[in-house]
Amino acid sequence: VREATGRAPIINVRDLALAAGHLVALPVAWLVPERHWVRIGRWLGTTSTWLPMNRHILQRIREAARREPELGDPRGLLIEFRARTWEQRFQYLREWHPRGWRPQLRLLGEDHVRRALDAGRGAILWVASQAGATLAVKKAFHRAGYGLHHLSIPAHGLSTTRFGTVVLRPIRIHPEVRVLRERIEMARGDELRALRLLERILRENGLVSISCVPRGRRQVRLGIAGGQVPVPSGAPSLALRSGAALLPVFLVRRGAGQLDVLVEAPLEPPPSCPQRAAVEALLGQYVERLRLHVRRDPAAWRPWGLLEFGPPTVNP
Amino acid sequence: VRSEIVAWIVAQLDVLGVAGDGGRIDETTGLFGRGVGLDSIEVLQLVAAMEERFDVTVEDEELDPERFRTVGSLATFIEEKRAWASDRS
Repeated sequence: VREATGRAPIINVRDLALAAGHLVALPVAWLVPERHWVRIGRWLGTTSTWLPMNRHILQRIREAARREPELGDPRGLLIEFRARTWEQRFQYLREWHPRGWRPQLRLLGEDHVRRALDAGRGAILWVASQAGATLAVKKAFHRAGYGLHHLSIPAHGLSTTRFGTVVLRPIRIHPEVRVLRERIEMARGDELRALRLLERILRENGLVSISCVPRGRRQVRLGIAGGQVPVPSGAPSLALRSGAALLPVFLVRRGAGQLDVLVEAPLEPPPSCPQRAAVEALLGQYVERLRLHVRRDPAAWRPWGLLEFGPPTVNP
Repeated sequence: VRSEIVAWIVAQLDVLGVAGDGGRIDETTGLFGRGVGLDSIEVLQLVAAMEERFDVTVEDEELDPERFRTVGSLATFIEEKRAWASDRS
């Protein structure tokens, strides 16, 4: 594990916004019952639609809704999307409360995990980029008695500055580390070492979780929500190389504090196919499943801001 | 000997299905990004094949992306590993 603090700047404007957001969220997370979180998040989301970041996302959602009208009112979707972002923030902060965050979690499709581990070649949980999934999935597997090895990055989706590393990052990392067997940090320039370690873990029949966020050296643009998003090829590539099962994982929100962690059937590589083509086939299978979840709950899907409207690389 | 190493690397890229159709690959060809666009797992595959073919061991500490930047830098790394291995024996 290499520290990311080398020549990173001390602090930036985004850090201040994140810090302010956490200060606003803390009393809500600790004092307000969870059933009110989304409503508060919706109100906070409504008051921040003017921010440049939200205007950018709204523009993407508008274009997507023009192509797929069933997405509904773009502004309403943006506010709901923001509400779910706030809800996730409340979850992490509640985890710091002496009583912790105690959602009603159901782990569905666990038989796919058992079957994969019985085969003895390990399993990769490929966790969709959905609001609330990062902590809920880890907690659900911990409660079910599994030891997860989670691949993460130093900034952990927050900030790469020194302030971010020292102050903001622990807000998310500590609650997660408590429910993981191991957190494997993949710093820039350190990818090969981290991936080699994951290979060893899978060879020892371990359970690895990787979030489906567009990082990594190679990404493929896949068609979804009327546009395309970059999807990293790392998890399918690792599964093919190690022989591990690649299990897509989605979060289904039943209500406030009521979450289903859904493990779907493994993605199956086509027989006797060159590796690149096999990776693209797995990505194609994945995006078909992802589309259903995005249609069902578009507000939970995180990568709206990354949506582009050019031709896709893979269009299953 | 270096030309053999480079030819072996090109053959491995072909096995990975990234060598392209008739695209010229030489020592300056990048392995990442706009080069042949390997992902990190494909690089690890190259490392495993290299360990087997040249009877060397690549330690975790040696997995510096700079060594895998181009076909030439990888060839240099293989030469260094072979020299080190023959010095030891």
